[in-house]
Order: sequence, then C-alpha cells, then structure tokens
Amino acid sequence: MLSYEYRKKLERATNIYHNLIKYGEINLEEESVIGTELQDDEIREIVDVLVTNAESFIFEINKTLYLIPEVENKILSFSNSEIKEEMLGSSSTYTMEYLYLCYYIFITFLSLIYEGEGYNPKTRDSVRIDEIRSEVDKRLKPHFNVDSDDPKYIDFKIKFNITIVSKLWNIAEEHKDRKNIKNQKSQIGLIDKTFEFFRRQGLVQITNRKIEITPTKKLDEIIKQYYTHPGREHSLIKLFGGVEDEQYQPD
Amino acid sequence: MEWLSPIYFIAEKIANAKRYKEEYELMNLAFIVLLYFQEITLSEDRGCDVEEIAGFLKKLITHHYDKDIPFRDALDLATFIVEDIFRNGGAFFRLNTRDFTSEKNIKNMVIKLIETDQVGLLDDQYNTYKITNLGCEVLFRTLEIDKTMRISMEMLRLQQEFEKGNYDTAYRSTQELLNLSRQLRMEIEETIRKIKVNIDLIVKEEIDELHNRLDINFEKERQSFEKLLNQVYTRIEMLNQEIELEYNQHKEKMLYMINRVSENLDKIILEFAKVLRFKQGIDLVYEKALIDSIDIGSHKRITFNKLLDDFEGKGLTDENTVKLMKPLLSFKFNKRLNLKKIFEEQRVISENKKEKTNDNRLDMKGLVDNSEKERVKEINEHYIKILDTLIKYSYSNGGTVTLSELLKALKNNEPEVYEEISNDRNFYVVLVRIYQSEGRYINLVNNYKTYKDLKLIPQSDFVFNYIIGKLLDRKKSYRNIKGIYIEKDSNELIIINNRFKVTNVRIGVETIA
Repeated sequence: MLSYEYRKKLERATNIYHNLIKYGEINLEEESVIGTELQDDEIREIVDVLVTNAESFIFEINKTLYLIPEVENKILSFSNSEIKEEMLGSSSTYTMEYLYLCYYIFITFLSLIYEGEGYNPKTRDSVRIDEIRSEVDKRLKPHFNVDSDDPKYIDFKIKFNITIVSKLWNIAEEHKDRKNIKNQKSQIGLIDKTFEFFRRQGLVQITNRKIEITPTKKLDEIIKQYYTHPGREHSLIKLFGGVEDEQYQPD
Repeated sequence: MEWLSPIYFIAEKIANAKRYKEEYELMNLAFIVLLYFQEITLSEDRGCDVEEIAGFLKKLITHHYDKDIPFRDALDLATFIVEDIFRNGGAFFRLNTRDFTSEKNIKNMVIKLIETDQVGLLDDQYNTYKITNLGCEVLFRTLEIDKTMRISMEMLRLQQEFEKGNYDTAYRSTQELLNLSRQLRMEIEETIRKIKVNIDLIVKEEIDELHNRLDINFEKERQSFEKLLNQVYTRIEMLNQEIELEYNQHKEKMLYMINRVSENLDKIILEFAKVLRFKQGIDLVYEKALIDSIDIGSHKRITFNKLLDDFEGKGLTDENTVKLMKPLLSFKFNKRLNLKKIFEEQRVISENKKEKTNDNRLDMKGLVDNSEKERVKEINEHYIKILDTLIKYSYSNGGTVTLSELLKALKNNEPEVYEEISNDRNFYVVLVRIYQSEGRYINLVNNYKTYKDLKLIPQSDFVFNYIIGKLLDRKKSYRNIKGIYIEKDSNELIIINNRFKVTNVRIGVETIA
C-alpha cells in the first residue's frame, strides 16, 4: 500500500509526464508550480523513470523542459509524408526524394557546425548559406555520374541513398538571386525551405540579413546530449544500411 | 602569450586577402576597427552593427586617405574586415598548444577577437559585434602596461586630479577606469563561459592567476572607490551650498563635471560588485566542469561527417530516416501514437514475460536485440563491481578513504581489479554521479526501498536505484550502511594511467546507528 505522501508525489509526477507527452515541452517560468515540484528529488526521479520507460529523455534549456524521443522509440512516431507536407507543402510537385535531399542538406549543415570530437562538438557559431551550398555540392558532385545499375544502388529498401540525392541536386536548377526565387526546386530554393522548416522547429535562426544560419541553444543541447553522446554511437551507426536489423515490411 | 596568436591569424588572413590590399593598409584599418569595437563595447556596453562600422570607415577614409568612398563600398569593406578577417567566415580560429600535464596531448584553443549577437525582428535579423576580452588584451598589450597595475595606476591619477580640482581630467580618468573595470568583468565572464563550453580551453593556472590578481588588489581598489565616492558626495554638497550662496558659472560647470565623475564612480562600483559575484562562483563552475569532463573526456564523439560518410556508403531505409531525424523534431509530429507498434511492443513484452521465471524486475522492454541486452547487462555488472569496491575499501579503512589511497590499496591487494577498474571510464562515471548528487551523498536505504517498490529497467547509464538494489541483494552485510558520500579532499589533481585527470576526493560510508 502506497503512503498518502508518496501517492500524492506519484500523482504530481504523472501530471508533469502527461504535460510533457501532450506538449513536448514545459516552460518552467510560466508553469512555476511544475518547476517547484520538480525540485523534489522523488518527483523528479519518478518523472525520469516514466520518461525513460517511454524511451525518451528530457533536458532543460533556458527554463524550458523538453521531452525528446530516443531513436528506437516505437511509441511516439510520425511519418516522412507528414514532415514532407510541413516542409515542402502538400503539392505533389515534390516527391519524397526531395525531402531526403532536404535532410541531407541539414545533416551537411550539422557537419559544418559540430565537427569536434572532444568534450564540445561545436566548432563554429554560424555558417553562411553559400558555404552550405558549396559543401553539399562538393560532397555530391563525385556521385553525379554513378552507374545507377550498380546493384549497390538499386536495393529498393534503401530509399534514401546517395544516387537519388545527388541526381536530384544535380538537376535542381541554379538560381543566383535569392530574393526572387521563382523556381522553388532550385538548390537555393530547397536550402531556404529546409532551414525555414528547422527554424520553425526552434533549431536554427536565419541571421545576418538571411545569409547565415545560426544554431539555437536547443539544437546545441540536442546534438551534445543526444547525437554526439558517446553512449549513442552504437544505435546511430546501426541505422545506416542496416535493413537486416529491421523488421522491414514492404509498402 | 595567447594574445599574440590573433595577430598572427589576422596577419595571415590579410596576407591571403584578394581584395582591398592594394587600396588600403588593411592591417591598420583592421586594428582601427578593433579599437572602435573596444570603444563601443567598453564605453557604451553594447555591440555595433556593420552599418555603424561602415559609417565610421567612410569618415576615416575621407579624412585620412583623402578619398570619397560611397557608403555601399564602405559597407563592403566593413563586411570584409569584420566577417572575413575577424570572424573568419564564422569558423573559429584555432590555436594548437601542447598540454604539459600529459606531455602527449595537443590542446586546441579557440581564438576570438570579436563575438556576435543577433538583434532585430524575425524577418530582419542582423549581427552586432562586441570585442572579446582577448581582443581588449591585444589592444591593451600594445600599450605595454602591466595588467595588474592598470587600475591602481589610473586610480592614483584620478585621486590626484580630484584633489587638484581638475574635474575634466578626473572625469576622463573615471571613464578610463570604467573601461578597465568592464574589461575585468568581461574577462571573468569569458573565463566562466570558456569553462562551461569546454574545460580544455582553459588551464587551471589561468584561474589561479585571475584569483591572485583579484585577491591582491581587488578589495583595496574597491574600498578606494567607495572612499573616493564619499569624498565626491561631500564635494558636491559643498559646491551646492556655495552656489546657493553666490551663483558662479565656473562653479556650475565644476558641479556638472563632478556629478559626471560621481555617475562614473557609481558604475565602477557596480562593475566591481559584479566581478565579486563572478569571482565567488568561478571555482564552483570550474570544479563542476572538471568533474563533468572526466565522464566524457576519455571518449571520442561520433561526428556528423562520419554519419554523412556512412550514409553515402550505405544509405538509409525510410523507417530509419525517421528514426534518425526523430529527436530533432518537435512533438507536433511526435505526439501521434502509433497503435500498431504499441501492440507489437506489448506482444514482445508479453512473450518475454512468459519465458521469465522469478526475476520479473529485469524487464528488458525495448531492448529486443539480444546483443544490446548483453551489452547493457555487462555495463551494469561493471557499475555494481565499482560501487562494491568503493564501499568495501571505505568500510575496511574505518569508514573513509581517499581516491589515491583506494587506488594504491587496490593495486596492492587486487592488481587485476585495479587494472580493470582504473582503466574503465565507468569508474569515473560512478564517482561523478555520486559527487553530483545533492549533498554529495547517496542514501542506500532509500534507493534500495525504491528498487524493491518499483519495476526498474537496466540501462546503459548509471541508475542508482537499480545498481544499489542489485548490490544490496547480493551483499546483505551492506544493508547496515546508510549511505555513501564523496567530498573534495584537496586541490590536488591525480593522474591515473596517464589517461584520467581527476581531483583527489574522499569517499566515505555512513553506517546505520
């Protein structure tokens, strides 16, 4: 039988957990009661146990508590089509491959900002958009003329692959004047859409009169505590090419 | 000598510059812009944007080069100096230095002369720039005044000018002192920032040097400012009375200047109060960062370049793409519950439960991969062994033992365990976790009770309830121990196997009375 006091703490912890599940974040300044409750070690510990059981983790930045799902989280989920709609709109102009290219652009940006292998992965404050474009170009150019009949590239399960991404990048029309983007499928047009989406997610700021991308503190923390955390290397590496590890169901 | 390296970097950037080299003495212009930053940052305590710098450069070039430069060209030049030279296009300047403590490691320090801040509304955000402490240092060093003496010397001048009644000069002197005290405050703020970002950016000697400087002169200087401010107030009162009796324009002007002196002295005292607050916190921040760094310091992180290489070589399935991006996206996407997967998940758990016999606490939910299960189990066994060693040696040594004593005893009594534990980063993780707990203390009794009451999952991270529960289940004699604590024993740093650098701590156990 639980004691009255413990039962109350359990109720408060569950309430905090439900708020995190519902909104994904809690502003501890606005929700000062929750902030006070979390100072209680036992409540905090119960919330931690609930969050861990939900295959997620929490962290606090600037008085806001965030709930982030782990890679292997099977309960909280979304699909790529939902993201595509949010990032590129509902028009059928953009196939799923365009979304993959946008992901590639964003990961390239991350590779420029968080290069460090030591305690702090962050090595610079910001990157200019033209530098991101030339870096993506530099990485993808060698793959423009890859033989697409190579069995390595025709595995139907590996949908997000270098051949698709590089070909799409190659045909994405160059457009030099960013202020009059007529062709939204141009390289710069796609870069704009990518970072506008991640800006809305609170991960980057488009600064210095829209020529520079600066990561937010939230992104810094997610990268430090999640992607580059030494304990997660194994689960991240496993994702690449590793279809044999998955219970894969064809569409 | 850290201040010398920026000059090298700037000289190199200018030597490689493809623009403006023929038209202007770029090195001079760069240092003039740096001085402009210093003036704005220290005198007005704010940043300035590139248009402001362009305006300044336009005036300067018109007067000194006798050349009419359009504002647009001045803007290009300002952007080039600030963004391409000082900010190196957003990439940090890095300075490699040898770490003398290990003799092997090369430290990688980040050099910044200016720092940026984003201002403006969402659609029109732009950068403003402020000089860093290192930038100030570069400029001050060129004056060849010893750092520790600057405030004292200027203070002496101020007192003399005030005594003589030269309030104009006294005011200029307070302005200089205000700049110096702001620089001192910025220096401490930046030291704290460097410690927080990466403790490898700073060596303990830098903090000691800062402390020494503040301990010797700081309190004396602070008292002198307060004493002088009292004298200034008295003088203001006297002047007010004199003016009331007989108005005099000269005295009115004196009163105006002395009031400005008093305003500046107020600001200086405020800066000193801020310095005092930061000074008190710096040791705590350093100690926490040091112990945090033990946790991660021995491991190299995975980089996004490696992830891109893996992607380019192997690709990703649609499902794994979602998994990779999931932690980045807000709950607007993540809140949708995937019922099919929950069902599958439940089925896996139910089937696993059927196979289990007695130990239903070892609920490996989510860890369906056997190799992963084994890995987590192995990590937890390590944690249990480490905690056992800490308790055993503290207990047998009369309830308390220092880390160096423990390692020495372990080396003599159980050399194999010593080899295993001292090279295991988890050993330091356990120390850090206890040290980070409230009151540096872990209550074994409460943790064991929670372990018994709740169903816990073993994880790769150190979870007290689970580790303590498992250990106390195996070693019943430990159930008369109330708790374990760790406290700092001295400032001595011990280096273990040329790999881990850690403050010598004292580990102790408290038994139930």
